[in-house]
Amino acid sequence: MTAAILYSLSGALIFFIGLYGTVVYPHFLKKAIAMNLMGTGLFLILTALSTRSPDLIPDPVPHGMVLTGIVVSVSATAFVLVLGVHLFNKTGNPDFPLIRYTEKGEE
Amino acid sequence: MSPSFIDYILAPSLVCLSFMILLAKDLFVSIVLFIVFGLLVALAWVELKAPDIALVEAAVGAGVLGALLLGVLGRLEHNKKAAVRTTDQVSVIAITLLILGTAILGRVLYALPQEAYGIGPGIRSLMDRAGGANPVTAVILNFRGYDTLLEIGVLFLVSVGAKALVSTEKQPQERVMPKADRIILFFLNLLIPVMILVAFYLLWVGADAPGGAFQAGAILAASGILLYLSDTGFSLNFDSRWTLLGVSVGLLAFIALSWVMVLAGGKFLEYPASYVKPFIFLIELSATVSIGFILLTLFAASAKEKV
Repeated sequence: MTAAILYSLSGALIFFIGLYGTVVYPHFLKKAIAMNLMGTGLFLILTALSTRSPDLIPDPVPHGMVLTGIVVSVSATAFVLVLGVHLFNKTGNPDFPLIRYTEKGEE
Repeated sequence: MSPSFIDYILAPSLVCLSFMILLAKDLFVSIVLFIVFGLLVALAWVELKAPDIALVEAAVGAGVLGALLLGVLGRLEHNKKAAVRTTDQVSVIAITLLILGTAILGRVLYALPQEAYGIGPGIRSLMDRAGGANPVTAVILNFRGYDTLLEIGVLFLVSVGAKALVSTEKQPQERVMPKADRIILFFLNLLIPVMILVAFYLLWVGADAPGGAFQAGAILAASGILLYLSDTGFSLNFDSRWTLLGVSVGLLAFIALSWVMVLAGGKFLEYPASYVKPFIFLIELSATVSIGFILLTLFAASAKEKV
């Protein structure tokens, strides 16, 4: 098992865990965190695959892509948070969609 | 490259942490675990021989994003727990997707060749014309400068959108008096100048060693966030001309410098052969200032009651 396989499999798992979190939790803060998990999983896959070169110097192009990706995903998350806070101020409800599902009698 | 002892502990820990982040019932616990996750991912980047990414992840992914999330949490009511999930049918479908997806993607990743050069040797053969010794900076600002141009455009758009949303909120009338602790003020007096110095050092050294515009911009934004959080009365005036200039100078300078050679008969995004390093430094300098301002406006728009 090379380091590339180890980290890219972990990245794949983290991506799908993040996808599960985005789908399943209605609170917008949790969705934002789960979206970031998806992004981080993808970046792990990209960077892990770039370490496969035989002369042990990693490929710098995926590093540039991941750098750009981190900054863009943080700004997109910040925008989602601004929108979510705005929605919460207007409706008092932090859930996307605005219907709240009950969990076995809670709330 | 065979994994060391740390890799066998780090990678599973990341997966477990991501589970714990989602399963936490209290949002505050979720966010703190997310910050921890960000720092461990920064360690993973170092293990994957990507120190530039490690710097950005620690500064932006863990630092600025953590401050943003905690700030937003402060504006929500604490009695709203986030453990509520959708219906059981949707959960089952989501878990099936998770297992299937991981299996398929894992199978694909396993089938990839163990050794692959990528574009690495190609980039290395062009480094003498790149304007610096750091290949990641050369890729971001020279060979794939178009991506960075668009990225700074996206950042600018997000900042404009955040400002537009904030302007529609009613502003509270009373002015909060600054009540900063003397100990905090003492540390700020020491820390803020050092942070600004470190930021511009990272910018300068990024041409030849790990560093660059994004790391520097993130540290500038972090120093602004620190000032916000210490009750010093510091606040970014969204309507001021200086804020507008700071937010837009990165995009404007990049667009201007990318068209300069066209006037001399060259192509779009071509740098003059003997002035590559000054060009790249000018672009990075304006990008640093802009990224600092933009991240700070995003923090102000989402995390503070009063702007």
